[in-house]
Amino acid sequence: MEIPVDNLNPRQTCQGRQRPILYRPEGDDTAALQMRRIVKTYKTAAGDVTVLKGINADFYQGEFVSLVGKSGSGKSTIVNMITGIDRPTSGKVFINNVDIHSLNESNMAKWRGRNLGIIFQFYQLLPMLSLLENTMLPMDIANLYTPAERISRAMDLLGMVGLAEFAHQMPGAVSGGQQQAAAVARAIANNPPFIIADEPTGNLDSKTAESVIGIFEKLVEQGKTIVMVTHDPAITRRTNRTMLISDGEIIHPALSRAFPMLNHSQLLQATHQLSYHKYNPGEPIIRQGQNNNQLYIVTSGQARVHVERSDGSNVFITCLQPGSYFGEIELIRQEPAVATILADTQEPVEAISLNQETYYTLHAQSSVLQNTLHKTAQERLRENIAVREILSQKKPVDHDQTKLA
Amino acid sequence: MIKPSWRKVIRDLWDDKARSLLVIISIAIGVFALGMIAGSHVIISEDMDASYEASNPANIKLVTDPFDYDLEETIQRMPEIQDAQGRREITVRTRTEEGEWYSLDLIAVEDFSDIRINKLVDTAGSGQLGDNQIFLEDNKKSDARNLNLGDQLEIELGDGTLRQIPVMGSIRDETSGTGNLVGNVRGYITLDTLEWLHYPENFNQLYITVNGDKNDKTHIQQVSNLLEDKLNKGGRKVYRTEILQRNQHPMGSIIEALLGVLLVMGILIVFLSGSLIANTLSALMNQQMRQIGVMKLTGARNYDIIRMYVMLILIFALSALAISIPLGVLAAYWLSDYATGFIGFSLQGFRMVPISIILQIVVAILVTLLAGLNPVIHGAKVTIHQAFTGSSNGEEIVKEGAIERVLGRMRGISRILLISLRNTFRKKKRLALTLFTLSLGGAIFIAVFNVQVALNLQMERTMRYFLADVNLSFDRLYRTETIAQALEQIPGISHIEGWMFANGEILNEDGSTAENIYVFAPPSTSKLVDPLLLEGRWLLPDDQKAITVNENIWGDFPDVHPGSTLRLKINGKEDDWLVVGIFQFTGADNLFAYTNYEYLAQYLNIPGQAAVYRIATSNHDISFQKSISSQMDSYLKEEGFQVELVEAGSLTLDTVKDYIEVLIVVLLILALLTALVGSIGLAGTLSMNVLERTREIGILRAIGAYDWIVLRLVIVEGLIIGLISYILGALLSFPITNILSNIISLAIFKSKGIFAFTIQGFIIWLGVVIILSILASVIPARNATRMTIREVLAYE
Repeated sequence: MEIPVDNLNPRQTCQGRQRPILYRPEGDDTAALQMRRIVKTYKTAAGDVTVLKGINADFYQGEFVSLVGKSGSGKSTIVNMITGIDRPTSGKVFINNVDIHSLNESNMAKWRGRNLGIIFQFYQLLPMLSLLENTMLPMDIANLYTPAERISRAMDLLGMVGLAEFAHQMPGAVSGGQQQAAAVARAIANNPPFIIADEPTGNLDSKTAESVIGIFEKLVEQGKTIVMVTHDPAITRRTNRTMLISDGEIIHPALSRAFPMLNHSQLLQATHQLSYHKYNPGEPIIRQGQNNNQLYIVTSGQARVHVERSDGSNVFITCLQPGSYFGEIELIRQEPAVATILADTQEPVEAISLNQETYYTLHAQSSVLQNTLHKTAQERLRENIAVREILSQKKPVDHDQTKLA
Repeated sequence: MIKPSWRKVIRDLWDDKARSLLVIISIAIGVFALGMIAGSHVIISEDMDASYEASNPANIKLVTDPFDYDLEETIQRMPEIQDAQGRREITVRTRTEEGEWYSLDLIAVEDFSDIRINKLVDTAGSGQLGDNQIFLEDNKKSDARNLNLGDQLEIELGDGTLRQIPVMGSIRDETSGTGNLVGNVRGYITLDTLEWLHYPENFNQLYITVNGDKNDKTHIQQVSNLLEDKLNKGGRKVYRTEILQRNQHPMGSIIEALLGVLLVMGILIVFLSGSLIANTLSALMNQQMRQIGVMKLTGARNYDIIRMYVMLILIFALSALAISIPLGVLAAYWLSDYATGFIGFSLQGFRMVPISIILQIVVAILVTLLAGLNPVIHGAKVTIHQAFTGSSNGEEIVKEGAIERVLGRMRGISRILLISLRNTFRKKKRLALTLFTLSLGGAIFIAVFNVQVALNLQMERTMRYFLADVNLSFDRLYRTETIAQALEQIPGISHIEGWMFANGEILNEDGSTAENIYVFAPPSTSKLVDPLLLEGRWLLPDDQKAITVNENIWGDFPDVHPGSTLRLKINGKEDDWLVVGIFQFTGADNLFAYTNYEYLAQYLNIPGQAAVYRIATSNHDISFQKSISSQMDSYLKEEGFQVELVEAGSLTLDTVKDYIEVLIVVLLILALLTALVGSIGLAGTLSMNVLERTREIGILRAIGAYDWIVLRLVIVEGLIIGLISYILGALLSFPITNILSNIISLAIFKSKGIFAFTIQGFIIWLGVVIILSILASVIPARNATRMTIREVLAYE
């Protein structure tokens, strides 16, 4: 049945777009860096310990991604899988279409020197070489630059990170921040497309950490892809995307964005219960008056919210961007849907949903979630009523002129 | 249940097997070398003396005018004489399968089964010596001529008759000393065989054992004087007298000196092992720093820590002994057996030498404890704070010393090479110890080659007095002009000289014989003597009753100088001779004198005649000498001359050089052992360096260093250390060459050594050290490439 739309105010249609929450559980083959079903199990005296439980993750060119998780969650292991520092028990890692773990140690080292720049928490500069020599060392190994070019390039890189005047100092003679800056210069010596940083600011004061992140931002602007492990929420806010790791699995980013009040364990539990939906442009997701037992979160595209007036006309309420959730009103009030939500006409909408049971479980576990959802529900109900009332005072629209696809 | 602390000790030993093996082998090599040398020292000394004693060696040997059984019996009845036996020694010519003639000394005895003095050892189950047969001496000289049981020797008699005499037995004379190595091949025949060979059946040598103290030289000398008197009164001349003490093997002093040299080298190897052990244990304590901190946290005192690690050290020592003792026992016997081929004695059977084993045990434990105690005590004293915050695994700050400043100024070299260079000098104490062992090993290795050259030069010096290309001797005297004219027919001969040789005796004031002296008499204008004068002058053509003597004269006559006189008895004639000069002539204990042929021939009433000739040829290489010798032999015999011997001059030197080669081989083995200790030290150092730099290797891997880069890093470091040690070793080889050359020369030649060097040793050692450095680097380098980055960077 077509649902008429009140389009008296074009500003009330979905305009502007937010970035989609990129997460494909099954993976995206177009990504520059792909992790596919990565499992890592360590054999210990106490038995086998599986640290990564089938990770699928994608990283796109030009992204600045933070990997966040508690200690022992597996984030550094993920980094080790990407850098080839460690090898997965099963699964593959493709970087620019190269299955890196099919290479032997020597070839992987060679490949790594040209394609990855690695920055460690403890800098890992060679103590017997000066900052300049440390920066030149990867170029010596990879042989991509002539000997003359190496010196000038190394000086440029050190200058870029503010260390030109310290070029001939040994690592032990400079501060931790300066060492880390030198480590950054070394990491990009061969102009690799990917930079992997494991807690690069973990040992730095806030001011120094700020300057290092500033350098990273500049590098991202230049088109580099940076994957960074961090604990610092202030830093994660400066990245394009945050990937939350818990107990060796990735938490759906839409969940963590929508429900930041849940702990990692709860988010992971919810991730396991997710259903994935795709809607064509204009396709209804929830119809007003019908039962709804799902809590939805938009992951890509935009969803439009419409409310039917007593006279049968529909009024546009709002657009739901990626990261927005809906369906909570119905689950809280246990009543039929109070609005119609449908995919925008411009593009398809992708959404994830939690079933009723999972919702009620989480609801019971988290009082903050409860309060938040209740508050949101009340605000939305008020908004619905308000918009309906306002619009009812305007001239009625010819419903037949506007149709939904 | 084993106490946890001892369990830790066992686990430390077992968990790092490579390191444990390194320490154990380091100790084992030194202790093995010591055991081999000490054991062989005892075995050779004991068995040599026992063999000598068992052979009932003569106290007096006289070379006289011919005598018969009657005189032998008469002498036997003298109260001073315990026993007397006569022998006859003749020299004949025999030839090789290739037709080359050489001299063969034949010793005729009355009854082979009744040899009571200087008894012979049957080495081949020879049984009884029959007439017209020969029993050959079993030694290197016979081996060199390829003479075996069952061979037929073709002997040429004075009149040109050829006799085929079968070799029916093999015996060993365990009293002959250097006779096993130098001089003619010797064999034994019966008196009846003498007649078959156209020689009279009588004796010309008398072997005597005395009653009373057989080790009292004065007493033996007195008996000898009595004997000489008796013989002289009977109208027989005594041409040569030799006095021998029962408890002094002829080779005794030489063997003692040489074994002493080997012992010193063995001790050196132990010392080098000790420094290697110190290095390894120092690194072990470094690695165990954190564990020591934990133990102290749980209440362990310094004493408890020290006790644990001392136990570890003792286990290392005992494990090394388990290897070195059995190997040392076997090697000691092997070395002794090897020596029997040159010295000529019988081994009393395989056995362990208790004193050698005790020495090995004491040295192994003592050296290991001494080497390890310092690092253990130092490590045990570390505080908990130091243990947990001390630098480790490449995180240390590189302190800038002079070397670092020099390296820091280096520009234009790759960072990889720079890493190798700087890492080489990172742990200076460890580097110093490694360089010490490797350099010393190299220095000794090079020195051995230099010593070989020096000894050969020394030998060649003796040949300055025998510069002839061909030595010719006849069975009788011929006029020198006759021989000169005859030999002029042979092309290639450039110069001919008639010489005389005489056995002389230096007499005491009372007329008794003080010493024997060989008298050589070349022509006054001889071109075949090039003397090295120490005092005075050489002989002049007008000199009469004048002699020059070699420096050994000072051993018995320290006051003899140019202008002194010596009372000599030559061919029975006694006179005072004037010493005009003293020359250097390296040759054991023997005395030599030179006088003019013209005067001596006159003195002995045979003017213008000689039985011995020395010939110079136009070409001096041995093949030409042999060719001319063969031509001369054929020609002279065709002309009817009674040739006794024609021999290439170089042969004499070659035989003696073989003797030197044996010593050089043993020294080289020890030098190689020393070098082995050095290279084990290098391998250990590199392994420790790699283990301590795992983080650095991980970082390099993380930034792209593939296998060859990592391998190169370690191998270059090994090569740098090897090359530095080469330079130091090359410099050190000069003083060591000097010391070694002097010690050996004094032992063998009783004179100071010549300093000489050869580029050969330097080049060979350069090659060896490069190979050893690379080999020592390979395993640590491969281990480095096999490390996974996760292991070395210890993530999370």
